[in-house]
Amino acid sequence: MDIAALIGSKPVLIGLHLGFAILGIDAFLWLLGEISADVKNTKRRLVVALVGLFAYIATWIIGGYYYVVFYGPLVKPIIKAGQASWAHAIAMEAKEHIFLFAVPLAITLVLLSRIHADELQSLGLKKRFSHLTAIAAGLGLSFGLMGFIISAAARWGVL
Amino acid sequence: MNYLRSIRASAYAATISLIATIALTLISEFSVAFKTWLASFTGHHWVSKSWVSIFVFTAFFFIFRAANKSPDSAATNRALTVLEWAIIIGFFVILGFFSYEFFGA
Repeated sequence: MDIAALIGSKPVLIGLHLGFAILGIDAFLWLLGEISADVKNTKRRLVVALVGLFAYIATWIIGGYYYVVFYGPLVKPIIKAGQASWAHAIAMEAKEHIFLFAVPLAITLVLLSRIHADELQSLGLKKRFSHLTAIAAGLGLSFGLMGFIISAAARWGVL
Repeated sequence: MNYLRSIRASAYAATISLIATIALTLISEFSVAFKTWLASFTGHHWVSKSWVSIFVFTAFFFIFRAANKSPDSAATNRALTVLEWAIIIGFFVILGFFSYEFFGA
């Protein structure tokens, strides 16, 4: 098996999708800590926000490819025929559409990360920056929960 | 401050992109013809929605950036507050809609 075929295989795609999502969630939780602690190192904060952004972009592309190529023709019919068809009708439908909020939000967080901690305080932007960063991590965690429901429903579907 | 100009523009562009995503999602659930038309551009309705969200965000980012060259911190804070509430409401609108469609419709 060549490397392209290996990366394009179903379990590896799912693993990469999940791995980048976890990396993005961790980066935004780290960023939240940096903001809360008024860390003066703007460069580090910007790097953490960029890691979060690129991880969310990567999980979007990889998950999107898996969704279009494999989920639709192979997994969706199993879930819809199983005992938990709501997992597709609610969890998957919500996940795939709410995900489209995440990257524009992450771009906004990268732009906010360029402001020094002292300036964030004096401009009165720290509270909103904290809230939006928590939302970015929270969105990622909610996608994880929905992904778990979808995977579990696919397993129940064949039992 | 140049930073504030980009942050405000990004917050409003993200909000409009989010509204466009919700609108396309709801319209395509009510109209099969619209969903098919959307899918005809890329082969899949979700891929088309993804491209629309990117295009809308990018276009409105530059429009808002050009429209207000020197926003103050209050204007920037307002844009971030709008984005924060738009995401929270948008999350429950989409989740609520698909729940209602499954259980209630």
